[in-house]
Amino acid sequence: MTGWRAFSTVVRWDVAREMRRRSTLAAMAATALVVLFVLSFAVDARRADDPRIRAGLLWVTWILAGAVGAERAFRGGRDAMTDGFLLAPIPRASLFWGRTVSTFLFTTAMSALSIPVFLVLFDASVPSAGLAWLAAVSLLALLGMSALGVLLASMTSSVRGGDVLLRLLMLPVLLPAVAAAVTGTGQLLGGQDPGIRPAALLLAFDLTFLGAGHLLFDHAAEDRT
Amino acid sequence: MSAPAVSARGLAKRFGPREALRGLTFDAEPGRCLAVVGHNGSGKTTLLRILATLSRADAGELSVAGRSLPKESVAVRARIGVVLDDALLPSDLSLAEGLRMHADLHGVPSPEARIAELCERFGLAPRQDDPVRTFSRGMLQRAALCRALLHAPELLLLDEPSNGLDASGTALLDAEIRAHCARGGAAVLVTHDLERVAACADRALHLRSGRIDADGPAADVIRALRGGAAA
Ligand SMILES: Nc1ncnc2c1ncn2[C@@H]1O[C@H](COP(=O)(O)OP(=O)(O)O)[C@@H](O)[C@H]1O
Ligand SMILES: [Mg+2]
Repeated sequence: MTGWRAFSTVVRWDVAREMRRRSTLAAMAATALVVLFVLSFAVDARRADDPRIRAGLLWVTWILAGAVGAERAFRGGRDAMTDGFLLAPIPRASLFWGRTVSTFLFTTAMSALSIPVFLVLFDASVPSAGLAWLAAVSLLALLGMSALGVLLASMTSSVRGGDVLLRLLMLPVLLPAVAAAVTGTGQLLGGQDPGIRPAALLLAFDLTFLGAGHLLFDHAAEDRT
Repeated sequence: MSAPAVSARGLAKRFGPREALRGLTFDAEPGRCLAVVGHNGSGKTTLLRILATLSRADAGELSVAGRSLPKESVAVRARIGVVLDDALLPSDLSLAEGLRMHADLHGVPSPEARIAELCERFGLAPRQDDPVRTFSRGMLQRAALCRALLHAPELLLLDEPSNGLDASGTALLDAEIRAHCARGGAAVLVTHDLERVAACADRALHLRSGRIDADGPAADVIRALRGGAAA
């Protein structure tokens, strides 16, 4: 089987399984909504009208929900999905790309769902000229998070408390890229032009994580018991 | 003379300080079933997972289905059918769908007909459209056998395949292993069930603490084990 066919088979069946049980989407959406609601009580956004705070709240929500999604994408060694796919005669790299893309699709659905909720709860608005910027930056961030999450989850799933470890590892690695995205989003919500720099930084991070996953997945996915 | 189905030379594997396998050297021949027996914790599952490319030996040389591991693991995975203690079928999909997923991943030609044939053979046809999570332990084991046979593998790697099977399931399993070997395929059968060894295996390895304690004709190894238990 060619790498491309293997990749598309993995994506197709990941999506088919998720459509059946919807557990990953449900877990992410629930996380996102709970975080947004709690934050909306904690932070009175109408008064705290610093757009950087709002941007920070949105990204905190996405990161937490994204980590939940990534962790579920590649769980415990005895997970039927995982071993079943690991026995398929496809390169591990195809499995990594397939799982990253399906996780990306799920996290994108989650963030698309949470944006309107965010805008209502925090009484915020995105200038229509900034929509393309926000879409590009959030898609780049979600792609990087999915790649990093799938890679880290495959490494940490054999470790007790692996999900905690996953979040601990994920956050510092993501930090510089997310910092740029948050600053940019804040400028956008404040009516300024955030420029291209955050997107460029996120793109560099995506390429790093995708490259690392492509090369390391073979080793990372082994010996999970 | 065809190449051995498994050729292992000095396989070793440790988990931290624990040595699970301490230098195993053996071959498995095409057309033969090799049983691997031994107490709990003797290293049987560890060995099978290494043969199945799910784990990597720390030392030693290994070829499976004529391909060397870990280098040619994709080619090996195309040629092996594996039963582990988990059926490896998505619990929310129906059996037919789960098998279809594996058939797609293996590039099985005319998968629908193949799936129908196997479900029929293992007595699962009436339940093939039910979610796998509704299956009993024995049905799951039958389903796992269907999955392992789906792509007509050269080599079967079976870890305790008779777990949970009733008498008719066990008879099906024995018949399946013997038919597979009669067609020229090979099997590695990990089991603590000496009945299965007697019914299916040509040769047996006895593992003790990660070492080969005995390697010989199945009947001899069984006799030694039964004698040892009586003594
Ligand atoms: N993932 C693991 N981590 C640590 N030790 C392990 C792991 N897997 C197996 N072992 C150890 O390796 C030895 C052999 O285990 P195993 O191959 O499962 O035995 P068997 O299948 O013969 O019962 C045991 O001592 C077991 O505790
Ligand atoms: Mg075992």
